[in-house]
Amino acid sequence: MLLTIIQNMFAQGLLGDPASIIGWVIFIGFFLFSMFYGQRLQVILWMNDIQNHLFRLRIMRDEARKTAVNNVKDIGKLETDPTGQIDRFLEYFAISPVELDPSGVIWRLEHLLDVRDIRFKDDVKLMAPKADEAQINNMENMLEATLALHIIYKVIRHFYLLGKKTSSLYIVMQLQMILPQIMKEAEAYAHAQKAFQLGQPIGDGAGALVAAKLMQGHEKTKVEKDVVVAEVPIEGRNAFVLKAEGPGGNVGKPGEAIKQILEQNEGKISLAILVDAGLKLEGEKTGEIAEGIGVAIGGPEVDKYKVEESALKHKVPVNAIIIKEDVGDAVSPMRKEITDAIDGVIERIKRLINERTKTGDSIIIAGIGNTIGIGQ
Amino acid sequence: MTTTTNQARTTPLQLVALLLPLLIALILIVSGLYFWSNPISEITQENALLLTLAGLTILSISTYWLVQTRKRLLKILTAEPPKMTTTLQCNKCGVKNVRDFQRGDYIYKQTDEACPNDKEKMTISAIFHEIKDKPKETNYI
Repeated sequence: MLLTIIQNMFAQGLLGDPASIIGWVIFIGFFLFSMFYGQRLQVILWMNDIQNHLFRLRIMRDEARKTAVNNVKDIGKLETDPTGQIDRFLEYFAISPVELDPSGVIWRLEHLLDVRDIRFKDDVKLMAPKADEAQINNMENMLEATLALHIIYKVIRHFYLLGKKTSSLYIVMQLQMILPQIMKEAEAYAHAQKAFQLGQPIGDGAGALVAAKLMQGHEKTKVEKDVVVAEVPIEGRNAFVLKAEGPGGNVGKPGEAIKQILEQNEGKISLAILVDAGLKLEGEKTGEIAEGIGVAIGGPEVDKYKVEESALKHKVPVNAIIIKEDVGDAVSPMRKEITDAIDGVIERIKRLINERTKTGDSIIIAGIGNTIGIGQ
Repeated sequence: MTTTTNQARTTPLQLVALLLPLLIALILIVSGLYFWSNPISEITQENALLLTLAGLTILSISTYWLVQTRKRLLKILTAEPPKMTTTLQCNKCGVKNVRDFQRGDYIYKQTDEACPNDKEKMTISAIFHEIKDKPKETNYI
């Protein structure tokens, strides 16, 4: 009946050419599809993209884990398989202190970080009892890079599965948008893991390298946990140059060391200069040097707080010099541009000293950062 | 932690996405070639040629996409760590010697390698890797 009506309509020319009708049907169908299912199609495309990235992250995580197991076996000269211990290490977590009552939060955080550090070191010693101190530090850093890759993989997988379960456009969209940045970070950690395994210097060690160069040929003493200090005459001033003790992977406690130096000298320090690697903006060149004021210490801010407190107490001006690099360079093997910038930083330090202090003054120069692959 | 293999599981949707363009391309090419040799009133030789071209375009796009995906995966699986260079310097005459990084090297380590000039023990003065950046076409930004 319906077909007869349609046939009659065509015959009377009411519907026009059958081919154009098909075109219209396709057009309207496409319009309706994009209206009702366009968003779902977009989610499917994004999910597919996230799945590909997740697969790459899994490869990186698995490779890092394999490298860690082999490295622990090699250095520890083990006959047993450390895989179980490493897998347990990769599931470690640290709970941050209560911030609802901010009073004393820094000291509680410092205590937790100390406990974490001791626990990590003890576990590495148990995994490889025949390793020396530098190897233990390097292995700990290597395992931390593996842990970072493992956490990145797990978090991305969590949001991917959550997005899949809820079909939420917003979860999937946010995840897909931040993925390029996360992949860049993950690739940097994968490179860092190899650098830690071989004990190569990384970009973050730029500050430590400056301090190491300044303290060459001078007597060094070990002060606060894993920090070495040398008294160096520079431009007629007496400089306390400090850095974390290398060549094992180590950041030390520069904040505590600076506090101790200030107290030992009863605050008679004219200037404190902190040298560190700083994050560059896109478009800036790696190895560029910039000067500023404030405490150039990254990380959980315990050391930064200590320096700020002591500097305020003794009214010591704190200056900062940074060597610019991106987040990937900071944890990857050191680039030539960063090595080349070291002499430029020393020139800047000398200029600052001449401009801001008088002959015979005492100053502090702190090289901040991970000192892996850098002796003193 | 569960151990996983690095083999990706192909979902039915991925399989369809992979095979459908290939199937469409194949149909278009075969039918195009058929109608080119046996044209009918509705499908002329010109139309048949267009069909073949459309099929070839779909085929080349799918192949390019597949190759790129494989390249990306291979890049991760076969990623080499950056080649590190160690610079040794003589503390007496300042002569520099550059070689590949060796395990155990660290900056300011006194090595057993002797200076070619005065046979002094050389010290490692730098360890780095060099990235050869492509020259930028414009510096306006």
